[in-house]
Amino acid sequence: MTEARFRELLEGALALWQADAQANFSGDAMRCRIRRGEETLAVVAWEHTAMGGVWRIEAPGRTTRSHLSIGPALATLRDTVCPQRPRGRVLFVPGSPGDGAASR
Amino acid sequence: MKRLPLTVITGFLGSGKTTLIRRLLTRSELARTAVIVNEFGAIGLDHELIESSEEDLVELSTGCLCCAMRGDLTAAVERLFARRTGDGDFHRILLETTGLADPAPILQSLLADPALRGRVHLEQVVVTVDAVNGDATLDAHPVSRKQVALADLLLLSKVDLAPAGTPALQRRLRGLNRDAGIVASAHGDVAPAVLFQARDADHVPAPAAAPVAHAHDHPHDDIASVSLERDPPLHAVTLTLFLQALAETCGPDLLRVKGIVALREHPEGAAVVHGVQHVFHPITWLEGWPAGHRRTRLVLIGRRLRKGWVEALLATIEEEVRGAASATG
Repeated sequence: MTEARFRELLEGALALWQADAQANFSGDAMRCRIRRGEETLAVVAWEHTAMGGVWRIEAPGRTTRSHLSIGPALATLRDTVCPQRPRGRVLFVPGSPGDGAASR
Repeated sequence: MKRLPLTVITGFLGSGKTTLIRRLLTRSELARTAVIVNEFGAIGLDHELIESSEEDLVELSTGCLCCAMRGDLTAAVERLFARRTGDGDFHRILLETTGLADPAPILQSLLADPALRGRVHLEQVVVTVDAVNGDATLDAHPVSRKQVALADLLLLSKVDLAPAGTPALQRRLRGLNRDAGIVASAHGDVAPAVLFQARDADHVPAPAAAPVAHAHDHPHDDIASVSLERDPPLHAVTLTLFLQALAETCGPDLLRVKGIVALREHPEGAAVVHGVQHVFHPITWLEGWPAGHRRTRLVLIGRRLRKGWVEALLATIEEEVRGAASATG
C-alpha cells in the first residue's frame, strides 16, 4: 500500500458514491478522517500487521470494524458514510462448461 | 443445439433504428434474419414498417422490455424457435428495443436467463445516434447516454442532414465510450459486413493498444469508460475479488465490464469476462490470444468511475492475494 493509493481508494469511492463528505489526510499518511462539515463521520486507517494489511474503520457510536480486504472495508465505509446508498451485489450466473464461445 | 447470435439494436427515439433494420433486411447477406421489435405504446407501428416474413418477426407491444417485459423476450425467442423448421430458417436475430429502453436489464436477461442463454448469445449492441439531434438528446435524456455507453458499435445516422459534419458529436461519443466503433450512415445504409464482423459468442472487446485516460468533454456526462491492461497474469481469486469489490462498491453505477484476462492458473487460455451491471456471465475461454499477445485487457463502463481508483482497487487486491499466497506457502 502506498500513500497515493490509499488516498485514491478513499477519494475515488467517495466520488463514486457522490458522498456529501470530505476526506482529510493530514497527519498520519495511512489514516483518513472523513468529515461532513465539522462532523466526523468515520476514521479510516490501514496498517501492516503480521496477518497482512488491515483496514480499520471507526465511526462515532459504532463498533470499530477491521477488514483484511479492501472490498469489505469499502462496504463498511459506504454503510457508514452513505447509508442511504443501495448496497451493490454481484451475481455470477450459473453455466456449464462449454456454454460459452469456445471450450478449452 | 447451436446458439444463434442476437444483436441488440437500440438508440433514442427517432434515431433510425427501424430504418436501419429495414435496410439491413433488404440485403441478401441478412436474408436469414429474424427480428423482434419492442414497441412502446398501445399501438405498435415499427413492425409494420419492417418488411419481413410473418414467421420471422415478433412484435412486443405491451410495454418496454427494459422495464417489465423481460419474460416476454424469452417467450418471443421461444416463439421464433418454435417456428423454426430446419437449417434453412433464420440464423441470426435482431432485437429492436424501444427508444426509451435502458439496454442494461435486457443485456442482463440475455446473460442470465437460462432459457435465453440456451437459445441465443449476445452478439453485439448496436446503438443508433442521430447526427443532427444527437447532442441535444444526450443533453436531455440520461438514458441515451447509457445507451451510448453500453454500445459495441455506434451508428451515426442521418449524416447527410448534418451539414457541419459530426466531429464534435463523435468526440462526445468517444468520451462516453472510447471502445465502441463509430460508423456513419445515411438512410440506414451500412454494409452488413461492417455491422456483423465475425465475432465469437460473447465476444471479446478490442481495447486500444495502450491505455488512454478518459477525458470528459461535457459537463453532464458522468459515464466513464476505463481500460485496464496488465502483462503479468492474475490469480483467479484476484479476478473474482476484483469483480466482486467493483460491483459491490459501484452498485447500479457499474454498467458494463468486458474483456479478456490472463490467469496464472490457466497459462494457455484467455478467459473472457462479460458482465452487465452486477450480473456476470460464467467465464468462457478462447483457444488463443488475439494477435498472439497474452495480456489482460479489461474495459469497465460506469458512472463517475476513475481510472486511478480502478487501478488502485486492482493493485490492492493483487497485493492482498499475493500476501495470502506467500503466507500459506
